[in-house]
Amino acid sequence: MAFSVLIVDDCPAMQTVIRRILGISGFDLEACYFAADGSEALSMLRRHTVDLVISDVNMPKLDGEAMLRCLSEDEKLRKVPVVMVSSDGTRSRVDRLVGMGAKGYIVKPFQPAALRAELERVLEAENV
Amino acid sequence: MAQEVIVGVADCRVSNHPESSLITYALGSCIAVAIHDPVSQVGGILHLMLPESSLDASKAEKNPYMFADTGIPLLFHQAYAYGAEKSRLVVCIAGGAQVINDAAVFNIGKRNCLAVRKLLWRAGVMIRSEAVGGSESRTVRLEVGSGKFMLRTAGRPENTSERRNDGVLCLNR
Amino acid sequence: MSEFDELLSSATEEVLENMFYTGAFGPGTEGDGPYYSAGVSFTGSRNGTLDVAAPESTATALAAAFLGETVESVPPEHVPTVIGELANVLCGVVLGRVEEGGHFVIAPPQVSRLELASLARNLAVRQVFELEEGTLSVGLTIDVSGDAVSPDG
Repeated sequence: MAFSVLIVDDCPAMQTVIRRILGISGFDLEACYFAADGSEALSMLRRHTVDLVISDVNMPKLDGEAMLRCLSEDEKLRKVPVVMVSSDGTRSRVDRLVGMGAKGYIVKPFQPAALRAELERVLEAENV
Repeated sequence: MAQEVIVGVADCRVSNHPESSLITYALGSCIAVAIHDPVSQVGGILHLMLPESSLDASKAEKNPYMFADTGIPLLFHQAYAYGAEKSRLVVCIAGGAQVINDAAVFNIGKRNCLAVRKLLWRAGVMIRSEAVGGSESRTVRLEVGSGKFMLRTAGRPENTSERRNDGVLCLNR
Repeated sequence: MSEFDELLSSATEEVLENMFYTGAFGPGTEGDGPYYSAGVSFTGSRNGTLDVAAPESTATALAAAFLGETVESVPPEHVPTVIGELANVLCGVVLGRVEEGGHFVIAPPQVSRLELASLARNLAVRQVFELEEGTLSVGLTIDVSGDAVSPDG
């Protein structure tokens, strides 16, 4: 079933890479949106129906952790699964974000197959 | 009757016979790229030796299967000729070991592995699993009918490829 | 090799091989500029900076590999952002190994185009790697007890 994705990362090149991985993974994408920080992401989520968020953690303005906190406080948006993609793989960060509701976590550097596998796992678990 | 097709060094074989198995031996620094389309039941193995044909253009002309950048496109195109489709292809790679006579400064095994990853990424092809690196020789076998990718590392029993979430082949350790 | 030298070396190899499909094959010598340089500062359990620098041709090749493009087709505006991301990812890997139980905030990368002579060199740990596509310089400073670590340790 087709689904919509929001990619949140302050690096345009990383946005491109994630979009490419989604494409070659064979996912049936209805739409793909982009945001450069958590603030822009929240704005996009209020304007569009999104089934999955893939988000960086360290970003200017509003980082991934603060964005996740905002989502968890919104009755409607808290249902949207979020997969974090970050260079921060420290135990404290991963545990904190998963505790805040992140459904998946991929640590950079990653190979394309690793991101695909994590997305498949989350999509299946969340019945997207 | 099951037929075993041997893929030699700097060689490539593609088959659409469901009873066939493709097998290639003695993967040291070389890389085997194995592909399989489960719908058309087409499978192929390329056993390449070196990363780039610019290293020796005349050799590449005589045998393009020797190099990753000339061999991989040929492997895929031969599979397409049998009815395989790019979006359906499952790709596994094995080899790229640092063999005992490979001077550390050359590191051909690692260069081969990186070249294969780069080429496949550029071509928009995902690698399902990898069994690369280390220092041991490997043998791989691909069952064309089932798509099973079997791996044997020197001195250990044959193991079926298991896809781990990180895309790395789960070896029988 | 000091502990940080080894850490920087292994982290650089890991990042290059997994996201840039490039190997680091021993120490290199910096050539002529211009260079793309990216620096990230970090705060938290420890403070400091990590810098990377590559000649323009190397940076373009790295960007092409990262994006799955050829050197000829890579959009030029992506080259500095990719070098920034290299610094960002490398910093994350290094910090994760420096202190597994630590917590860090990594600032967005600052990318600039410089001549060779202007590259930051007063970094505690600095290595130049030989890649197939040229050279990559990586430098790290970690503050210890509020003081910058000197090159002499």
